[in-house]
Amino acid sequence: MNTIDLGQLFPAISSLFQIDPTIAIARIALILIGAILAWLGVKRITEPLILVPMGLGMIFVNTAQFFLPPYPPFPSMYGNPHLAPLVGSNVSNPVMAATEQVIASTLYWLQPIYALTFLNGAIACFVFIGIGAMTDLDFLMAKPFTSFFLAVFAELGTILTFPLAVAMGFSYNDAASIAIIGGADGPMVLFTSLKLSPKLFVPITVVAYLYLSILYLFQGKLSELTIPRKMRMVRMTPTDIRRVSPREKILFAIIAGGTLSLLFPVASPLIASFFIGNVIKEAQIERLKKFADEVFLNGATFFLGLMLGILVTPDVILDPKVVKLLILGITALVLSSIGGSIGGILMYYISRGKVNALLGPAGVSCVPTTAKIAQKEAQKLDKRNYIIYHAMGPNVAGVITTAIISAIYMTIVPLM
Amino acid sequence: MSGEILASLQAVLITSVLLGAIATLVAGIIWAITKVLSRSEGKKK
Repeated sequence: MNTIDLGQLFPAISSLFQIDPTIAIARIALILIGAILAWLGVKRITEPLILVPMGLGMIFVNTAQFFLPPYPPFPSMYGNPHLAPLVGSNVSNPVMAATEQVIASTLYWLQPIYALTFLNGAIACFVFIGIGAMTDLDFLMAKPFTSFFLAVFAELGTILTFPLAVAMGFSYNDAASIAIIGGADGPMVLFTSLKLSPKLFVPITVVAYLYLSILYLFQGKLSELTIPRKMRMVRMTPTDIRRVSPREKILFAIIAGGTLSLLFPVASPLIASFFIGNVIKEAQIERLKKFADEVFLNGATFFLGLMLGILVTPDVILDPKVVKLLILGITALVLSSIGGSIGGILMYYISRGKVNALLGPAGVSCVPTTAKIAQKEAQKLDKRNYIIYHAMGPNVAGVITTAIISAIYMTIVPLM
Repeated sequence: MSGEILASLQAVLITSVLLGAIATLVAGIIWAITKVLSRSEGKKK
């Protein structure tokens, strides 16, 4: 009987000392980052639904990869030998070489989810069906022009980040995908970057979700800095909002969804998903609604987080573009928030002081986080002020304007 | 590089105009639906 080599018994530990130190350090860093993200989510300091599975994915994929040396067939994927078969796989060609199968083994169980829901952007559509089934259109439909006016201003980051990213050396496709972070809508960023920037979709989407999970930490402060106190103090009551019938909402969902799909076929999967979810809700088809906003949304969110975490491997963070991405991502969100404040201030004057300017930043479409932030800021000054119902109007309009802008980018950029 | 930045600025200009126009169109759809439905409900009464 041969003696057992302890290095073979615990290959993950022994290989830590054999692989390229840069890769080893990057993997250790990713495990630590994953643990921090998961912990922040568990403690509810950040959004747990995405960050807990994402953090766990980062931990486990990077510990599992330790035991595999960089594999000769994939010299360009040195830092990430697992990812090659995962990314390259497709359902029509499941036969892989034996060596690839060994490399893929640690991620093989997730390969069908990746191939069937990520490569075609379906996971973003699933999330959107759920969001549609949860979203109340009442507030948007009660004040459509005010809501869309504010939401358009809150796209400032989505507009200005595009030339900024080009100036920083990104291609048009990458720049447009990065700019969509300013829309503060995770599934939209994923969908757009999968279409326009498939090589960078992992870091772009992860950066978007990281910033979205901490949005509440800085958006309120930004509103305080950019909106004068008297404009934040305007009292608005829920009774100011007219009731909208389900018939109106269903008609709107069908006509607006159809019109936008006609104008932008490239974004129709997302637009259709949102309005399908909405019609299910308004038609009060309870079993489908429950399926869409509980099973579908929660399941899709879980796999979205887990898969993104698993795709964050050393080659992703060792890419120098990630630093620029981090800068541009936060720039996009801050600019959108400032744009929202500008819109809010203008609306305050247009309405002759009847609209609270905090409704502007609520046009940044992170539903319902930014509306809740606006409410919190308003109640800091006046405990009896309930602007959240009004803030939901621009908030939901923001989802639609981000879909429009993403559709415009997906249409225009390939023509450039 | 400056040519690329110029092209991107042109693209965002087109995007901004289109965004404003389409957002107004969608708001107009809501307005029209509300008007038509409230008129038909008024007739019923």
